[in-house]
Parts: sequence; structure tokens; C-alpha cells
Amino acid sequence: MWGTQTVGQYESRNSIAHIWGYRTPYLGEGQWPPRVDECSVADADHWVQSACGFCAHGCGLDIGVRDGRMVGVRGRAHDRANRGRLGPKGLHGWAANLSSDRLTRPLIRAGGVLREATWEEAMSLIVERTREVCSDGPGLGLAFYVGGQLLLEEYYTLAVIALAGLGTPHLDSSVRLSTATAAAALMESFGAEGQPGCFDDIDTTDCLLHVGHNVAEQHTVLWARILDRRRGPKPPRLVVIDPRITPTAREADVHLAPYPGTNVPVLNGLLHLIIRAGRLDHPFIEAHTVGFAELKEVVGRWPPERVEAVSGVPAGRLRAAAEALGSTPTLVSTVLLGVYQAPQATAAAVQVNNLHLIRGLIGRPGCGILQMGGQAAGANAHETGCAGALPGFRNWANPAHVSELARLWQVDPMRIPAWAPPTPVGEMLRYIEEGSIRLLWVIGTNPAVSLPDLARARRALGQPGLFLVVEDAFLTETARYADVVLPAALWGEKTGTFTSADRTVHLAQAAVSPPGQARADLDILLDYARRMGFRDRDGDPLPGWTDPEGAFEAWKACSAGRPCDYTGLSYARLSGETGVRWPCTIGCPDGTPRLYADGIFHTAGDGCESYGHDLLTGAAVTAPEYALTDPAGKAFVKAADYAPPLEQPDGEFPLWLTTGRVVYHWLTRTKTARTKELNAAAPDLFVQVSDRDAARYRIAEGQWVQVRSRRGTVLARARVGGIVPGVVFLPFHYGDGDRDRGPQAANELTLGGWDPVSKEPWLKHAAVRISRVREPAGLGRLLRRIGLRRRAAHGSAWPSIALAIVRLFAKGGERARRGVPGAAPGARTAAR
Amino acid sequence: MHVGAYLELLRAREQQLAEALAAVADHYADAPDLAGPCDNLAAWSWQHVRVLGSLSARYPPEQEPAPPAPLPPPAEPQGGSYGLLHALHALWLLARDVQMRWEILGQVAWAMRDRELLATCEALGEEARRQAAWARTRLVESAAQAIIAAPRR
Repeated sequence: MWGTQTVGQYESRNSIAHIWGYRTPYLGEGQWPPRVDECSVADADHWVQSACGFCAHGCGLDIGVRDGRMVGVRGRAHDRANRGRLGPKGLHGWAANLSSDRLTRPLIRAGGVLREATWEEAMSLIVERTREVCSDGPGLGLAFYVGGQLLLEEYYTLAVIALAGLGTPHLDSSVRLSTATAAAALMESFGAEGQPGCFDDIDTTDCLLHVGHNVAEQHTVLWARILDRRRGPKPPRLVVIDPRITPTAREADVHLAPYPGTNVPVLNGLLHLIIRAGRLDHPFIEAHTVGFAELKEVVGRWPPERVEAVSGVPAGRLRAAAEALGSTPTLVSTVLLGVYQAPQATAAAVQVNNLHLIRGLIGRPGCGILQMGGQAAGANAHETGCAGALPGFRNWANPAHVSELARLWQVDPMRIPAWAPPTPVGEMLRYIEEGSIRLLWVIGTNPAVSLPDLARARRALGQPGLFLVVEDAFLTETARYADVVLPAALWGEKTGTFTSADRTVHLAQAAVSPPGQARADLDILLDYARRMGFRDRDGDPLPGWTDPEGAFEAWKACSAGRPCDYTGLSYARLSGETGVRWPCTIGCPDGTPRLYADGIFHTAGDGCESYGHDLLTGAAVTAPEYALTDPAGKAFVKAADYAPPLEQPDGEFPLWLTTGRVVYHWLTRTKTARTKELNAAAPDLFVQVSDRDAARYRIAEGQWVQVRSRRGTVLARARVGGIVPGVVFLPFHYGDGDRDRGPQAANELTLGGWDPVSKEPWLKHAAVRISRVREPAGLGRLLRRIGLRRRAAHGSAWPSIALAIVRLFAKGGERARRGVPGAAPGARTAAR
Repeated sequence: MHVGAYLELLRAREQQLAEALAAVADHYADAPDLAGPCDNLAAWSWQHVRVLGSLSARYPPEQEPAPPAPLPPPAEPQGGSYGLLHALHALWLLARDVQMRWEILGQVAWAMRDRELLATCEALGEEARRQAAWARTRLVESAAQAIIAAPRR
């Protein structure tokens, strides 16, 4: 199918078979021994400093270059994030850069197909359509939707273009689908984003709690560090909350496996037991928090027996977990998608913050809260204002913060669209459907696979009257719907910074040139801004920079005095041995390992990033309301009672569906499916079913299963065991690219709703039914036999698909009609 | 004495609010964020209806309940953001109306020295406030798009 590259001529370790590598046991901050992992196909003539661009762990690495080509990667031994280690995606994923199907020229849809065009043609067309859709309103007719893998400089440039240039509130990032809840939970508890702790806390902690975070498969190098602590002296206890028996759960001392949608009851139950046992830091609660009395009352309604009845977690096991969490003198908690994409997402994530607040386990070594990030640069999308807040963690509801930005950008404050919070992507889709957003610009993300309720998402992307711009390195499932496709440079082909989940900023240098005419996203955005003629009050171009370092310097000015202060950083400073954690100022040049060491939080009304919300309804607290109870630096302990999910298993759809990752893939596999080793390690979708349900539905390992929800269907081979009965699991990476086996995207099944506070979609629960079906692969073989090529580059494949459809119909059969891939774009073409 | 009649009036309003919340979620199913909050908030109102029903044993209406004060007629269901704007506005008005009535009933409870009723009024009035705050938030976040950019239906 997709172009792949063979790598692995030299690999310091087999990371496919041994994901976390050999153990290097240790104890103590800064004591994690180095282990340099490397994977290369030839001897490099030089190495270029960078960091891994997959997950938000941010491993420092160098890119090997020979004769102007990327030939490998090797971990940076002195970087504090990884001490030389790299995971399987970091070691192999770079090969996707060399893929033979990279986009190298702009494409424009003409006569229903995408044809090659010049940059001049493509950009002129985008500018023309921008002017058209902005003619009847201030930037309400267009929207930007950007991925989580760009560079800080690119995000900030986009934010300035959207907020100050066009004045549109329709700017969102795919981090909305992954870690919007992390940001929301940090704001609700501490007044602003920013991880309180850091990865170094793992070096000394006595106990770890992972909630909905399969560390072993999501953050493999972080997991290697945890395993090294677990195999060393004074190993930390490990408590895991996850409905599946993941590798993370298998390592746990206490594993709680609740039903989907019951994180709040389980966490309330733990808090109740800890409070009842008196394992509290009363002086800390008194001096540094507000709201404890209400928490005590609400969690008091959750004795272990009631928790067991609702969540399926045995009362005895809940007590064991509470004993571990209540008795430990230090604690590192990490939270991820199992909370963020679940019902009551923000409410549940906040309860983890509460655990640390009521026990005073924050702001000191070994006591970290990591409301983890998923994507490499997701933190930057948040910081710069591309994901729901204003740049620099400013509060859109605070006029003084808006004025600061207006002064910085030299524009009228009225130009900044701060009458309401930025539009979440789910709402954008609705505006597209009703025709009030008529231009959507998608940058470096693949919503045609990653959005929930895909049938609806595809209809929106293919809606007649929508002008769709897709900026990417490959002709993704989304790009096939585009009117203009802009070929973008990838990681390693451009310079800039990105920030990991523990606030560590890395500089990633361009190692090689982008292929063909592909350009860096920064250059594309700046070109657009120049063509649009955006100017500030003095008549100077807006944005006022022309290169990455200029953008970084401008960002520093924007971040000054805010929680994410970058003013002590520079490209020179970041060219050292290791990344640096913000806040980093002139007075604090080595950065800050932990926030809130003084117990003073960012909750003062004039500085906070958000006035907070009702965790159940999402109702925003208004500025006058906040002023009445301004906690002025104390943290919020916010209680939340259980609200059952709207969609629950019933007679028709009797099982829970939950979704997640596999270790070898990333997001929608745009890169990892193009890497031979990674693709070969996990080529196909599977559905995980418990032993009990497998017996009940007469499904054996490897048999084909149809999974159906009220919204769609997928077909996958069964994998039996390792999950709570009543729950089935699908990995979310697989998409349209695999459709000769029928629909493969988990999101065909997922719900369209979202968390009322973070606006993060509900991707972790839906009611489904399963049944054994006959192997559908015959269809794929049939399609191949009649000459349908999967690599539908440049749109020119659509006529051949149309022809194939005709041929199939000539051969007859409902089977063929059901299985024809990519019918939607074809239909759209016809509608034009 | 009109306490029983007033309780009946409030019960009718709470029921109206519960039904309106469900109707809005149902009619605007294309806005998938509405269903969750509407469902939760309607459940509160139904619970309030039950509480008011049980209170009527203590304060039976002595005569036919007074006719409810006129409210804006329910808007013709419209589609799209512009229609939703009006629907949310109607919910906000209803919730505020209910909140005011709980406050009034609280005055009555105090004057009657009915501690239990006073506590009920404060707790349920707070929930009515949260219902209105939700409608307000949802309303103001989408108002500009709905009025400026949404096409006519």
C-alpha cells in the first residue's frame, strides 16, 4: 500500500521486540544512567540537534545526515528527558520523511480532481477565497484547524494571523481531541496551565498513580524510567486505573479496572477513604486551598461498596489503592486519555489534582502531577493560543489581558475576537454544516480519521460550498477532500522549538531540505499573511518576523510575565546539552523544575487564565462572580459528583466500546504506516474482547468481528482476553487507508458529544454490539484484481476508482457496494 | 394564604423547564454538546417537581391554583444556530424564572419558620441558578456567529 522505507542497517537495540530496552536500575534525582539508543542506515557525515517529534515526552536526539539525506537518529545522552534513550517510534519513524509518496508540489482541485499547481496559483486562490468568505463579517466565515506536531514558532505565527490579522475566533487544534482536558483541569485547580511537577519527580518518588494512562505504550521512554526505578533500590509503589490489562497495568501493585464512564466514582471513592482515614495535610489545606468542605461532603457519598456497584471495582481493591495513596509520603500522578476522552473528563482529572492538594503533595521533589500531553508540540498549541486560550495563557474574559495582546501586536483591542472563547472543532463542524464557515484550513492533522462520529465528519469535510485547504506532507484521508493541498516540510526539515509535557523546551534544527517544492508551515503562513496584507497600527507587516528565530523572539515578548515565561531562553541557550523547563527568565536562567513550590497558585483574578467553570454543566464563572470569591493564590479544590454517561449499553447495543493506542503507531499513522518496521509490527486493526464475551458471542482469537454502534460499523480480527468483561477495545490509529478490508476507523463508532468544560470529544465510551462475520479480505483481493490501485496520489486515482466501481457493479453484488473505499470524495466531486 | 397555590405554580414551571430542556436537546441534535447537559439539568428539574409534589401534602392548595403568569410563548422550533440562539434564550428565561420563584418561596419559608422548606429552597434555587448559568454560557459563546454569519433557514 503506502510507500515504505527500509531502515535498520544499524540498530543499537531491537526496539520492536524489546520496546523499553534493557534495565538500568537507579534511585535519586539526576541519577538515571545514560543508555544511548541509535538507529541508522548509513554512517552520518554530521549530526544535527533535535528532539523526537512523536509523543509529548520530548526525547532529545540528534539526526544523522549524509550527503544531504537523513540517515538515522541517536538519543542525546545528556538530555534530562531521556538520557539517550529512544522508543520504537523515535528510532524508526524518521524514515517516513524519505517516503516516496511525499507531497512535493501544491495541488488544486479542478474538474473534480487534484492537479499539480504552482505556489503562486495555490496561494492566490486561498487569498481570493479568504477575501470572499470574510466579505460579510469579521472573520466568522473561515476556520483554522491545526495538529499537535507543529513548532512553537509556527503556532504563534498562526495565532497572530488568526487573532490579530483576520480576527477570527475559529482557531483550534487537534489537541482538543487529546489533551484539552489536561489544560482545563490545570486551569480549574490552579488558575492556569503548566504541569506542577516534572519527570525528575519519578527519580525519587515513593508511589506512582497512572489514571487512564497506558504509560508503557504511550510514553515508552518515561516507562523505561519507571521500570528502572521499579527494579532499583526503594522501588515506588504503582497504582494503575485502566479498564484494560495493559503492560502498565500488569506491572501495577494495585490495578483498578473500572467500567468506562466511572472515573469520577472511583476517584471520589479513593478521596473519601483517604479523608476518612485522616491522611490529610490540614495546614496545607488551610493555607493554600479553598473548597475542601464541599469535597468532603460530595466524596462522602461514595463508600467503597457504592463505588463497586457503579464501577465494578471491588471494594477491597479500592481500599488497597487508597491505602497506598494515603500512606505514601511522596506521589507522582499521571493522567491521560482514559480520563481526558471519557465522560466527566475535566471533573475526573480535577480529582487527581485534589488528591495532591489535600495531602499537600505538590511543589516538592517526588511530588508531581502530570496532566500528561499526548502530541509532541501539543503544549505549544496551548501556550500560543491555538487551542482554546489566548496566547501566553491569557484569559479571554479578562479585558486587561486582551489589551496586553493588542499592545504587543500594535492593533486595536476590538480586532481580537475575545467576545467568546475560541471555537472548539466540534462546533466548527456544525458551522460548516450550516454554511456559516465556508473556508477550513487544516494544517498537519487528519480529521477525516481522528474526529469522532466519522460519518458526520466526512459529510462536513465533503460539504459542497466548503473550500478546504489541507497543508500536509502526505495525501492523507483528509487531503483527498481538499480543494487546495499545500506540500509541507516535516520535522527535521525545518528549525524551531517544541515543549514537552513537563515544560521542557527543545530546539529542533533543520537537518535536511524538504523534498521538491515542499515548504515549512511557518513560511507558508508568513506568505499568506503578506499576501493578505495584514498590518499593525504603524503600518508594519503583521506578523513582523520572517524566520523561526524572529518568531521565537516575538513569542518571548508575548510570554513575558506570564506563567509560561520564555524570556530567559534563546536559540543559543537551547543549543546546549539538554532542554530547559519554563518558566525561564533572566533571573532564573536554568528554568524551573517545579511550579508552586511556594504554595502560591495562579488563581489571583487579575492573572488567572480562566475564571473556571461548573464542572457538571460547563457554565462559565463570570468576572464579577470570580471577584466575589477570588482565592488570590489559593488552589481550588473542586468537587464533582457522578453523572452517568448519556449513552450506556442496552439490549440493542449491550457492550461498552473504548478506544486507545498501540505502541507502534502514532495518531492516524500518517508517518508510522510509512515506516516498514512500525507498520509490520502492527499492520491491522483488531478488536479486543474479554474471554467471557468471546465465549458468549462464539468468537475465537483471530476471527473476524463486526463491531457496530448507532453511528457506524467496523470490521476487525478478534484478540481475546486482557479486558474487563462487557467492554471491547479498538485502537484508534487505523483509517480509510485500510478500507479494502471494510471500515477500519474506531471513530466510525464514537459519539459526537464532548466534555462541557474542556470541549474534548467523548472518544472513550460508546454502546456497541459485536458479531462474528466471514473474512472480508476477499473483497480487498477482488478490488486489487480488477486493478484498483490504493495509492491514489494527486487525485488522479478517482477516475480509476469510478471505473473500478463500474466494473464492480458489472460483476454485481451488494458486497462490492458496501466495501468500495473512499466513495465520499467521489460523491463530492460529482456534487461540484 | 396562597402557599399551596404558589407551590403548584412553581411545580408547573419546573416541569415546563424539564420538558423544554429535553425538547431543545432533541430538536437540536446537530449540536451534540447539548444532550449531556440538557439531560443532567432536566433530571434536576424533574427531581424538583417530585419535591414540590411531596410538599403539597404539607401545603395543600386551598383553591384552584392561580393561573401561571404569562411567559413568552415557546418559540416556533427553528433550525440552525439562529434558531438555537432563541431556544437557549428561552431556556435561560425559564431557569431564571424558576430561580426567582425559589427565592420567593424561601422568603415565605422563613416567614413561616419552616426550616426544612427554607433549606430546600436554597438548595434547589442554587440548582436553578446553575441551570441558567449553563444556558447563559452556551448562549453568549455562540451568539455572534448565529446572528452575523448563520444563513437563514
